[in-house]
Amino acid sequence: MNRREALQRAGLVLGFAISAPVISGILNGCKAAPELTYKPEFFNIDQARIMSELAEVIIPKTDTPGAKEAGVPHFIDQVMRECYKKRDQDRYLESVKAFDEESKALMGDSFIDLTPEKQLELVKKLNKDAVESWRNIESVKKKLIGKEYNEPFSSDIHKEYGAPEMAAAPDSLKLNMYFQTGNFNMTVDKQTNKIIEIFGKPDARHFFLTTKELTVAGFFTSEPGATQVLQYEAVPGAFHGCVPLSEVGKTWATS
Amino acid sequence: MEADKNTTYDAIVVGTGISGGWATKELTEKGMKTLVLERGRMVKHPEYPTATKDPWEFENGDRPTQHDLERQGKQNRTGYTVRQSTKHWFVDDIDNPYTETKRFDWMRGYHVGGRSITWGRQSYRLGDMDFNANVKDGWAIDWPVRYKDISPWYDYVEQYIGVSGTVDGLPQLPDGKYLPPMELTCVELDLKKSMKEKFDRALTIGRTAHLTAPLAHSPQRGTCQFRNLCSRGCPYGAYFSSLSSTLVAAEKTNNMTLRPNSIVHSLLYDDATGKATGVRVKDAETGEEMEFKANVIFLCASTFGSTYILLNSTSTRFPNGLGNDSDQLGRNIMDHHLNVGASGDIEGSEDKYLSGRRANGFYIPRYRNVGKDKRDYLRGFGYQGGGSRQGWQRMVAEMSVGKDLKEDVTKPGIWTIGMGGFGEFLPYSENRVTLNKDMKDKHGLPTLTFDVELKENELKMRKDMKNDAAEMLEAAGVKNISTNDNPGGPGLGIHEMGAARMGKDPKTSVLNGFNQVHACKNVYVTDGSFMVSSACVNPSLTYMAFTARAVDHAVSELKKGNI
Repeated sequence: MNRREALQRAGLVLGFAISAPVISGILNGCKAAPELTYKPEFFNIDQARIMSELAEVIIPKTDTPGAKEAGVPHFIDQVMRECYKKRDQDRYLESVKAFDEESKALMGDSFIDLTPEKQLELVKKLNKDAVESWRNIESVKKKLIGKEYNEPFSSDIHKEYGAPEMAAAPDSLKLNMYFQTGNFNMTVDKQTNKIIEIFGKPDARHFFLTTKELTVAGFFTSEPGATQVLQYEAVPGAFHGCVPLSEVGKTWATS
Repeated sequence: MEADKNTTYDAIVVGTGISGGWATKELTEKGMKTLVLERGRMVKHPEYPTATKDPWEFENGDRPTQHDLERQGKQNRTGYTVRQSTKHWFVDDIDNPYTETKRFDWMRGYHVGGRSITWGRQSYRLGDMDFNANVKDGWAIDWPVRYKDISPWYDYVEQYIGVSGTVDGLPQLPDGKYLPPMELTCVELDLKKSMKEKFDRALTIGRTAHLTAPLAHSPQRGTCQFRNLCSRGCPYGAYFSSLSSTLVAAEKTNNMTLRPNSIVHSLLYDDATGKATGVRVKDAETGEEMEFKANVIFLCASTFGSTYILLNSTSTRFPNGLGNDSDQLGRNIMDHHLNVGASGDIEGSEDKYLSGRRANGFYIPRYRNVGKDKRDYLRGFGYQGGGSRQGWQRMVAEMSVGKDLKEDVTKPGIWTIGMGGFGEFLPYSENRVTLNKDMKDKHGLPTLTFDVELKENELKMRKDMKNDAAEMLEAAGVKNISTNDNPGGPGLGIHEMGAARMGKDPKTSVLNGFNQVHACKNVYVTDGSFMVSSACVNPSLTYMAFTARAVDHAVSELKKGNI
């Protein structure tokens, strides 16, 4: 039974009808928790709700199905559970918290309690920040990964990205450090002294971008995504390398 | 027919991949009763479990799980082999361990058809530039053959398997007879034009073992449907594999007995006659040991497979492995080094797109150390590449979200183009595999230890491979060019060769010019083991040609009573 029904019945029991405006006022003040479209195995209920709502804002139902209808929440749950390493799983779960804090700080409420318009506004802002921050990390990766963490190179790194704070190494074969100015973590293999990993903080942008990546991947490999939003041919029969786009129509789902 | 321990077969073939399938076809078609022993499981064309599945039928968007990566961690080093759609064609690394003195990425699968199911299908010929290379450079030993010896066999195998491509008239890339070529895309045509005008270098469509027209002598094979799902196995039989082609021909003769799950671990050798008399087999499922006899043996178990069998076949006559008087068995290992090149974005051609999915790219034949060109390294490289438009994957890093994202994705992204080099790898005596009797695999058999690395010549060459690619793209107007150079381990080219090289002199080679073991002439080795230099072109077509030629020799020698 949903809350609206429950209130109406309560009114009847009390001997008067609760008016529609009152009902809607009460309902808007405590927005009903969105129903989950799948059974979470990796996330808890609250995390699953946030992830599902975010996925649906990123790819909403229009005249074609959205993320939920295409099974994206289940996809994200399963991929996290089966394909991600523990460290990356932990970072993702930590970042859900950060994301919801960001929602409260910037938009005044938990993500699932925001109106659809406010959700989209937050998502647009985070998208811009997250993509920029990802691009920075990618360019740092290109510069540093595979190089040896030795003088004079290490001094150059400190000059550009700030003095490193050493973090507790998860095992004795790796050295972890965090660069304040550059805002990234770096892992050095103690045996080879080579830089083997660069990664950002598990903040709201990390949650947003990871969810976006998995939403896009889950959606466009789904049947509605591939066949209704894009176009898909199981057996093309021929290949033509240079044809007018107008003849093809829209983007192919697979290559 | 069941494999019979009491029969002496005319021939035994070990392995059913590229070379094993060919040896089997040629032997059986020439009337030889042939026992074919494959260490892996049975696979029958067109039973490829994932071949016709749609994208949404794969778990996790086809990604490997952490469990997959635990079992197939080394196979995953390519970045593309361990997917839900293809992982069953690659070994479980825990069950099939090997030791790396230096990192070696050994990619293989154990099943009927071998890597002829998952191969890249690029098919080029070696020419005299390659056959002369060692003697010209004063490096390693001379090939015991030249192009004129092999060219009729290239003709023979090429026409049988069907190779799509163009005749290009380049001396460094001998032409064959081709089925109609696949199309180049708009941006590839632009690059081709720019390379000709600005560098006088060729860019051509890849020569690939796909049927772009029907093949009259193989009516069971269909033409390419441009699905680009080849490494799942092709239910149309449209690209060459043992399963769709050579083993079908062999089966028709009624001279073939195929026994899968049969791990040949050593040869039986009779010192009195100086001949191998058969093979020792361990059943992969039951562990039962058995022996089979034959008059001639073709080792086609892949370079490390065949080399292993020879190393593991010791006797008073051959304390270091059968045929290893030269101490060259297991040495001189080569591959092609790759994962180096450039890519970038293209402005324009927004009103053009493509249709169908081409399982092929463009090819840039070697131009370094060709003609008057002289570099500070020996040999050279070719490039494989492609240019296409970005798909939905680009949406992750773009600005639109919500309904805008759904609208924007329906327009394809910008055109991008890239190329990756395949570099020749010199033979070095110290690049070797050895037998390790202290570490056993899940069958209780010894394993291999790899001590192979890229050396100075290869590393010097990679500078050109990276810089030339960027230079050629820039000259064609490509923007935002990025380069890459990640050699990974040798083995990633999946073109391993050289461990039982052929040569004129038994003191410096294991095989003669007909792939016969010098010291035991009824054993032939026709997989990549025999290669004396690696050239820079994909080697499988060469293995097929040498195999057909070696069988012709073997049958003739048998008839003459010479073996």
